[in-house]
Amino acid sequence: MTPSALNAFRRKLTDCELAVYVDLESRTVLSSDGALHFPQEYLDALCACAADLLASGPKREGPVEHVLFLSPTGSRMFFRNLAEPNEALCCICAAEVAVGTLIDTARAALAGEDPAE
Amino acid sequence: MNDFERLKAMLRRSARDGMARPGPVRYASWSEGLARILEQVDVAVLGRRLSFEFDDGSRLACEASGRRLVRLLTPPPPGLTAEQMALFDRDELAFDDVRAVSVLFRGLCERGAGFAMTAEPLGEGGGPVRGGVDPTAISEAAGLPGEASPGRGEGTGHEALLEGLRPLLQAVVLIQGADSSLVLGEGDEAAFVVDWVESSLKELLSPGFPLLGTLETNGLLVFALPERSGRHLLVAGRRGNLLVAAIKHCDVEATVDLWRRTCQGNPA
Repeated sequence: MTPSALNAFRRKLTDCELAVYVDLESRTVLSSDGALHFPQEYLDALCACAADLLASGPKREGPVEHVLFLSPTGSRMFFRNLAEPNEALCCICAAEVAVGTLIDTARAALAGEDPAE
Repeated sequence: MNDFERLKAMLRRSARDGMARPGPVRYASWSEGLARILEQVDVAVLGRRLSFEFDDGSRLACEASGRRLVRLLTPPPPGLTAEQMALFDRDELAFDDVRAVSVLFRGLCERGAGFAMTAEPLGEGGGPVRGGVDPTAISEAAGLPGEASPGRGEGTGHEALLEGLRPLLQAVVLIQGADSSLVLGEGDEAAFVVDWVESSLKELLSPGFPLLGTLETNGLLVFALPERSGRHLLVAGRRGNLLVAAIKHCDVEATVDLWRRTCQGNPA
């Protein structure tokens, strides 16, 4: 997922403050796009969360496709790239983000599609 | 009490604040008095010494920890039978003592219409216990009526969440501290969730997991599985306890919406 695709994805979602594309196997941040500048340590922590969460599904069910974490103050979403299972898109959003829209938009972005088309 | 009602009772107990309320207690019947004593045991998550002074001057002190009545402390109040006196020699009370404990407490409550209670923490000596007696077992042995069902708006958020998911629930595990227990489900579905909790989830939810504090306070984790699995998983936290459930179908958006309505008061 290119930086421009990441930026285009985040701009489609008004509630998305940060989008990060990561390599789950090496636990490396590949690209990020945020409304604010986030320090590298913060991005690394988000990447580690993605790796841990997406690796912790039930083994016999196949790879977890996405993990949603919600709290009263915010949301963190982790989407595995189904075409490249060792890569994932992570987002930090407002607590009240529209989950269905976010999932559709993330899946379209990871598939290289534009859901508006 | 069926499995679902038992689960809701556990959630209601776990949602309490864990603080005993010292001071005078008045009651209209022995059963009400006993219920008030057991209520204090039931909220004693951390070890605490409870002392009760009844209207007739009788005193009873005991230790409660982990929501269980662990031991009765000497000296015993006057007028007890030999069987009741023997309870004060136990290092830890055990399930076999339930009936005798219930009779003892009933007798003390029948001596008056109130007691004064004090509670103090046990500190370092109040660590985890393996023995002790569940207050629910004492209540049942004494023939007290079951806990009333909550009315509209009185149940916990997790109860309401489970009620909303009820037709779709495959299995539910409740994690309280280091302990986890299957509270709903059977067969392969129950085995699936228990295996997941033991093999993966407990490792994930270690103290080093940066989202653990938020999750335990009032958070939600939803795991979307491949469509062929026909289910998704949730971990909902509240006051340090975690509810783990496998839910039929893959509509995670509906689950999140329900959690927002029931646990967040947010209709979005």
